[in-house]
Amino acid sequence: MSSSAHETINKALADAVRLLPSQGPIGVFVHHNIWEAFEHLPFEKAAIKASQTFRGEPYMPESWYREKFKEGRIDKTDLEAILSRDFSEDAHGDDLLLGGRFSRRELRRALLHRGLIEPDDDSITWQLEEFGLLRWFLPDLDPVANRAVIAETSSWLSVQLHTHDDPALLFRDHFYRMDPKELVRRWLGAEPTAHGIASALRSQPQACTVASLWAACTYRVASCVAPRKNDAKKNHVRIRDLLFDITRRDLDDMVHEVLVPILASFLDQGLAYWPMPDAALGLLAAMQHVILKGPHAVAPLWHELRKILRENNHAELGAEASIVVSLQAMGYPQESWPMVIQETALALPGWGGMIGRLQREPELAPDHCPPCKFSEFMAVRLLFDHAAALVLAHKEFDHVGTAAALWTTPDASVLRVIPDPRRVEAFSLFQVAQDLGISTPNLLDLSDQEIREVTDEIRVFDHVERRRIWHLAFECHYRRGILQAIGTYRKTVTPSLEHLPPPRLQLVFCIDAREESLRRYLEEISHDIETHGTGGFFGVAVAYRGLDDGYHAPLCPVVQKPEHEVREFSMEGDDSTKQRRYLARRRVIATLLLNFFVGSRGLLRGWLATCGLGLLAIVPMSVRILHPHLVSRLNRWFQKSFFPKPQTQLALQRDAEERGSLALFPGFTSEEMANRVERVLQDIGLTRRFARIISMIGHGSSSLNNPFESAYECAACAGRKGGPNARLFALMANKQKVREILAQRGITIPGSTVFVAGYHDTCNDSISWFDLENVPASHHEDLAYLKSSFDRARMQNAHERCRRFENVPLDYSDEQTLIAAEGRAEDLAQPRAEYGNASNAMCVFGRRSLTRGLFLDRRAFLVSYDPTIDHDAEIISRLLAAMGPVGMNINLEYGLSYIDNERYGAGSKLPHNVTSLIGVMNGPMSDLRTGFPWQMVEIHEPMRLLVIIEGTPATIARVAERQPAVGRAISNRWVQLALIDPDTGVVSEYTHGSFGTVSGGKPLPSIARSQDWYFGHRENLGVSIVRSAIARPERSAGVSP
Amino acid sequence: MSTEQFFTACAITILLLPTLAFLWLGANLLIQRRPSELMISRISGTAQLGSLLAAITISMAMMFNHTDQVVVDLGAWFIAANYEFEIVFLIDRLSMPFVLLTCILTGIVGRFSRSYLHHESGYARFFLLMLMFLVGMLCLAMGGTIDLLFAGWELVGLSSALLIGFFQHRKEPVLNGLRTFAVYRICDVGLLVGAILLHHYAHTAEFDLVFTHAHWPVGLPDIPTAPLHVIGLLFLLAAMGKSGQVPFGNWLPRAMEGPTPSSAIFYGGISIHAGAYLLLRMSPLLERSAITMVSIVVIGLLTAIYGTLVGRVQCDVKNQLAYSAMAQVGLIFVEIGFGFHFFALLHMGGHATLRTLQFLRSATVLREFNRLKAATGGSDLSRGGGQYEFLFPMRLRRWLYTAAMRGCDMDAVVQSTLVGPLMKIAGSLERIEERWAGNIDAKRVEP
Amino acid sequence: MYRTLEWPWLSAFLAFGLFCAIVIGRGSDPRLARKLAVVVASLFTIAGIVATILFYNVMNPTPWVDPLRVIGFHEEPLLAVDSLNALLLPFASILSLSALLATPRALMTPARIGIILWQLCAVWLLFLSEDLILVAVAWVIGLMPLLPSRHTMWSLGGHIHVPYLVLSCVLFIAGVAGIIQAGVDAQVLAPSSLLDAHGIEAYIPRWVLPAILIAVMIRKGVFPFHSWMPSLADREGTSTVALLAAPQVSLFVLIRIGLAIFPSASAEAMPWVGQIALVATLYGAVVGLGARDMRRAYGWMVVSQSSLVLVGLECANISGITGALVLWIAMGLSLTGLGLAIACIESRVNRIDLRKFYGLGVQAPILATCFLILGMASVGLPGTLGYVAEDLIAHGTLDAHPWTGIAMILATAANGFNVLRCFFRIFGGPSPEGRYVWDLLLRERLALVGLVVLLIVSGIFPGPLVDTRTSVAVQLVSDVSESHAH
Repeated sequence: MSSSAHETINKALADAVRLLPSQGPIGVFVHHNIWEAFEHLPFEKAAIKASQTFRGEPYMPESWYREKFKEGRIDKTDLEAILSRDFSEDAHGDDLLLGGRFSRRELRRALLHRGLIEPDDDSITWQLEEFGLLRWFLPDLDPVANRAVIAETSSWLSVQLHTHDDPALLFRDHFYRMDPKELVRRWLGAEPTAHGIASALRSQPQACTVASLWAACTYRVASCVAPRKNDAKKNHVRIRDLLFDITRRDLDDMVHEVLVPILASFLDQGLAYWPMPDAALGLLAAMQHVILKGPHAVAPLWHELRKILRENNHAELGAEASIVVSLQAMGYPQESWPMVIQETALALPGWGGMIGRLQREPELAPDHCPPCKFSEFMAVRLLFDHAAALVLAHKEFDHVGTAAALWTTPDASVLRVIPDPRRVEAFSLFQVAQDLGISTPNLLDLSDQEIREVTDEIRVFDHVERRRIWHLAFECHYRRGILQAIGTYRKTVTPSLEHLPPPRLQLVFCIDAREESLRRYLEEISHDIETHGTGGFFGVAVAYRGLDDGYHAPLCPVVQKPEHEVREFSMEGDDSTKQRRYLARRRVIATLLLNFFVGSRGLLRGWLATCGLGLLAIVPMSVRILHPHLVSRLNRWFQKSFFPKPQTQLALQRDAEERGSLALFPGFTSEEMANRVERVLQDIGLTRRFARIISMIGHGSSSLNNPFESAYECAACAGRKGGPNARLFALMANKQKVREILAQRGITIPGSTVFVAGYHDTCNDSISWFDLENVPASHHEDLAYLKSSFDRARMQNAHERCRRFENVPLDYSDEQTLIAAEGRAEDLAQPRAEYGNASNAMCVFGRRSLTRGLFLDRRAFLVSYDPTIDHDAEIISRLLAAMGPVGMNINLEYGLSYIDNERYGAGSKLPHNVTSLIGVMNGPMSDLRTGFPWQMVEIHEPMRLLVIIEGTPATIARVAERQPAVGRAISNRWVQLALIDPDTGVVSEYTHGSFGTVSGGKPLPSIARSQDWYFGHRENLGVSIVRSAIARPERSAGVSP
Repeated sequence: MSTEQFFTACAITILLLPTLAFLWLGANLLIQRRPSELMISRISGTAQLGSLLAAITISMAMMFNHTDQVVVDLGAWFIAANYEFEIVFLIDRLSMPFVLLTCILTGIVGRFSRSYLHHESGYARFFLLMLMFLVGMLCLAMGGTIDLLFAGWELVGLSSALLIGFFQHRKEPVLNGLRTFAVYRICDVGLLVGAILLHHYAHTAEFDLVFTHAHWPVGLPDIPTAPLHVIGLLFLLAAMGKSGQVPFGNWLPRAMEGPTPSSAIFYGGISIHAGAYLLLRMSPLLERSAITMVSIVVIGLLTAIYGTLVGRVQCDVKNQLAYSAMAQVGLIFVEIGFGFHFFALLHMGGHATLRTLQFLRSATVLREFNRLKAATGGSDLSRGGGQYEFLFPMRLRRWLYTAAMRGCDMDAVVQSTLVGPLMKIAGSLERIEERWAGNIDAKRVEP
Repeated sequence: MYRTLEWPWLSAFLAFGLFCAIVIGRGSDPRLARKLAVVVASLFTIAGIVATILFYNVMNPTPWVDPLRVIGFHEEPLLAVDSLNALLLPFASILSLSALLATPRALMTPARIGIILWQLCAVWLLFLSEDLILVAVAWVIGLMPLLPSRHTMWSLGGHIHVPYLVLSCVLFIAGVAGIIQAGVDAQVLAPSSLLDAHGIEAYIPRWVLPAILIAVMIRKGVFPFHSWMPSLADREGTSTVALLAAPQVSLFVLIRIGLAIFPSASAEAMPWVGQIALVATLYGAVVGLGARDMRRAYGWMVVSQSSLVLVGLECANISGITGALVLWIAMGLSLTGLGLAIACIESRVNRIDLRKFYGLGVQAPILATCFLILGMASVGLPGTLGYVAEDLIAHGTLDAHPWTGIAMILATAANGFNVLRCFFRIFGGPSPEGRYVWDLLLRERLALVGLVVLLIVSGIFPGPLVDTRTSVAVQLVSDVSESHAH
């Protein structure tokens, strides 16, 4: 193999794998940007490029936006603003068209509002006929203008009738092989003579006008626009495309049927009873062994594969050489290889992406990682393609010979017949002409050049372009609303709470949008409660092994690698009888269950199980389904009475320097702890005014029958539960030694301050606390207050959350909704245990005083950040670098999964089938589904994350300098950026390279409690002021009621 | 009310309620009215509950009356001179357990689907098809004549194919639905021909009369031996198709394309046992034909081995369940072949229930495995159950692995012997016809 | 002998229908034409229903006489309702009515509307006439719209139906002429009257029966004279084929002329015809599986299913014949509906290539439902009339000839698979981006849903319908056995 070929292949492979979804095994959900490969481009360009590459949608359909327009979520000024901006960048600007009859802006406006009907050529005739489009003007046109057009056309027609030899030709459809006479009969119901048409003109002038306009449109388009050649050949990148056009059979279907089970077995993490032999040798070798062993192959594809593999030992050749052999065998010229490899990779993106991801990070595999190499995947895939092409060609047209010869078979010359697209253009022109009040004589008077200009403009402003404008307008509307609201609100509150006495409780949450409402409710309960937000791993990146866990799991964002490990063990010690007994009992039960699981699927044990125990299954089944809540209570009781979990502690302190068994440091030294505590306190700006109790609340989510469970968990903990991190942080911050070190660094935590850790389950809204026995008696009253506040708040939180679930009645009380929420988490039949971050839309970096008292509808990631203590933008740089990409990826993953759920998302959850313990497929065999299923995203509104930072343009410039990746995301507009000046409170937004001030805005509605605002609503709601949550109620005087 | 009237009323209730619910929903959809989700699930739930209550009532009454068998004759549906289509329900120790099982499992799955399919655009369609399935199944189970049984059998087949293709916007479900339907159609020929032969030789379609009023599982059909073999084998063919037996079984894993509850109720629970039910129903007749009984045992045994072997290499939950269901139904066939009627019935009930539950909670496997793995101290789960295979030499194990991976080429064998040649003939005849009629160059584009 | 009921002004009514057909066909406004035609077809439907009800409720002898007959000095009634045609009259009218409603506007020219009405009148004329010459006239005028025109005279490419149909007309006319000649030879008073035709069999030349049988087989599209049927569907669209094939005029002629005039010869020939029809059933079903175009696939379904009626008729026992007569109705309703549904789909997405997926199910669920029910009803979906018919035929044929029954069941199985294949191809799979397809419009819905409801209602309560058909079957069987006795 020549080195240039080798290089081409390696580069093509590297390019191809970047296009594939980089989602890891599903048990550790890593949010990823599906359009990651295009992040170097500006967002709008990337949207088009990505949608072409992935064959997905770039934006929502026009009808969706138009619906939003009707709801008032987009208005005319938004559209005008976007149009103006476009023209300011366009070389032609807002030119006049059709000899000055109208401007490009008018044309585009008309196209946006009407939304061109763009039928297939097939159904134009049908629509013209069935919907009377040739009898009446389009609906909602200006009647006065219509009358003028009718008058003009009628007088012109009556002259023409007598000068034309065959007046029927005036109504000729130039793309329709039907006798014009017949058309006159059909459209006008008149005889095709001058006399007949004249009488039709008298009795139904509108029909004559519209029909002649249609005829004129077809004529003008037919005469001015050159017919385009349909070169179907250029679409044939892969041999599959060629064969599909000849036979209409999809080679990919044949290949996947065999390939997917092999891939699944190769990656299997222990679900199959028989593991794949030789998986340790790599995919190519393992596949070759499987194919070559076994009985005589009847299946043609296996037979062919064997033949190919016997000719050449591909496992020995190596992946790259094998790829070259296959590509050459299929007759691809070398210059097309990168494209072929890219398209081939995109034919099965989920599985390919998984192999690529595991190649980069084998430790993501939940059990063991076979040696994954994307190049081997491609080699295998191409081998299959090669064999399948031969089989298919032989079966369908008795092809004998090599696969390369297929490109020159006579059948290959059969091109697809694509109907003349010009008729669709004429149809568009027809609609536009009506919209703009152009009559038939006008149209016929125009020069060819002018017609071409207009049709070109219509063609350029196609549906993708229109949807882009709609999408930007939608984002613009939301952005303006939020910015104006926050700007207005900022004027009424003090940006700093520094002069206020410290509150009783300070609570630190994850930035997760789901915690926004819980924080609001806690603040509603009392002015003495203050909340903060920061990454839910609380700066403690750790490999953690709980008492219930069998192994260490990293609890930190995926980009970080933990250096420390911490274990949980029983209070009495690691070897205490209590702990041993507990673990032994669990092991026995688990072994039994596992044996039943495996056995009931086997033959003899299955026979015993089904005959003996089968009918008993009716009890758990019916109870589980009819009364999930009861089951959860029984379960808890069972756990409590038979498996009482011993009280536990964490092995936190480390004094020695050596690493432990996992090549990680066991625990932390005081210095390390102090570093972590300091950093988080600085991040959230909590370096003074310490409350008596500061509580760190980690979060997670547990739900039943839900493969996507980890997508609901804390993203900052790599899709795991964040409780241990909160617990670790509190333990660290409570250490005397740590406080001493911090005091030396200028952060003095008073002795009266106690840190408490909690864990919030966002699915059933339960709260649990850690290590309460360590809280000194002096703080018990505060602790009780903390608990009772949470008990109230979580109920209200459940109530607000459940308004989104259509099967929870809106008039339920708080208690009822809490029970409903708890039931959902335990319900086997519930595909929507919760909605996760589905409503996310913005992310605020700033002091809580900016947003405290605002109803943000669980749509905001709230990151606490105090610009006043941030010198040289150091803190905001690290905050943005850590949280920015997470927020953006979550936002884009939801957004894209919503826009094209089948292509970018995982489709409906209902047919999902867990495979190899690393992902889900549809039904028995399909690509690995990545992204979110529809049930997770259905309430999402796709728009780019609106990032609001309390800072100045200079801050951003500094950040971009320090963190180029963040700077790129901002300048390529993958997020929408807005700033609030920390001193003046002026709000500015970043559009296309510069900051513009946002002003204006109506006074915000104000309500006493959040419930007043959302009660009875299921949809997304706007911002309002919640009076009871405002930091100091007396300051709300400036707020209009 | 006399006992007879009472039984008649109950039997009618069982079948009528789901039928009415089905017709109500179908009529609504046909006139483009979309009842609310709540309304749909309530009405179908009520119908299912009503059926269940009626079935329980009948069973209780039979138990207390020590009645083994009741024949409910509703008279002729239509008559053509000497031929009458009788509507007869046979209520006995075979049909009642099966009806109860059907009602309970569909009821539970219906309740499950109520929240599982919430907000799905095909919600109404799903319930419509499920009611159609229920009607078909009840008809099949209670049918006292072979014609009624066949009508139910057909409805079950069609609803099954349509539910597999439930996610119609993707092509895989649709193709797999079609494939399943093809197998059903081939095997249905067995049932229909068998039914008519039975009618011909026994001069009646009523089971009660065929088996000369004896109570199941005994019966003394008065049919000559030679046709008996033919009829028996034909019924076996029908049963093989519906119950996914070798060599037709490969539609079963493909049928997992539908929403999970439909997979559960059809391929874990009820529909897959329809074939076994048919054999049980006919057992007094089949038992007189040794060839048939031996064939049943052989087929069942082959299927059990096949399902176990292929199931072992599957690494996704639904395929595992599908193959293990296939294997267990194979064992049920064996039991029937050996004449253990009541045991087979018990096995059927137990299997249907357990498998339905396993299907319904199939998505929870990730969580379960994580917890079990944690609890067993991180033990290597991939060695989960490897007991027997260590008896084999390595070479044989690899050989078997490949064989299992290929599904023993069963699909390919059926394809190359049955389907392929037929389609090839059809295709070439059609090409000849096209050429003869001159349709080849006829202009395809019409105005 | 049939009990007949004469109806006053029936001939005038038919003449009125023909007149309307011509007037409407020559009009220029298709919308107006459709409205008028719907009114006329509704009148025919009502008249047919009334005629049927009256026939079964009025005692013999006929209380009414057609005044026009008296004026024309005819001894015998020319047109009369009898037990065979009573139900077929409204049946044929409903088919035409639904075609008028469901055909897309883009295909509905006044000329075409006129043709539909014209064909309806021809079918009525053929069903009602008691006179051989009238039958022959109706036979020809029913085919007239499809016979050679200026366009098709010289180039037969794709118009293979023309020679076939011309041949059938020629053979039929020749056969009728032969019979009339025989009547003259036998010194019958009114040689062309069917009512007088008994006992002339001995005078009829040997070639007459084969000629008529072949004419019938051509028109039914029975193997080996079937090729024109899928070709016509391919060329002219499915609704044309539906209206031509669904009323099964040829079958009617076979029963009327074949059994009435040649009781013994046709009793001998029928098994042969039946066997050939059986081959056609199986052949059509199998070849249909290979069709790549929906229109041709539909053509094959028609070939297969309409031959099946003949199979049932041949088995010479009452349940089989009743089944055939019920299938006649069931198949007519379902296949016409299916043909119209296909036309509706084609108008939205152009020709249907069965190798592609169209994915219409999401956007057009009602169209999908109608397609499925109509298609499955034609192969005996339980709950529709098709099931009743298939059940009866299956019993009839298996009783008579077991192998016939098995072949028939195989054919039905293949057809059922084919229906579902077409259904999944058209309504399943991904739909191309940006395509929007409208579901059935009100007009189309009226027609298709109407047919579906008709099939289901008659499928659940088949009693009365089966009873009327049974009486016909009993009559036919006794006629044949009577002639054997002679």
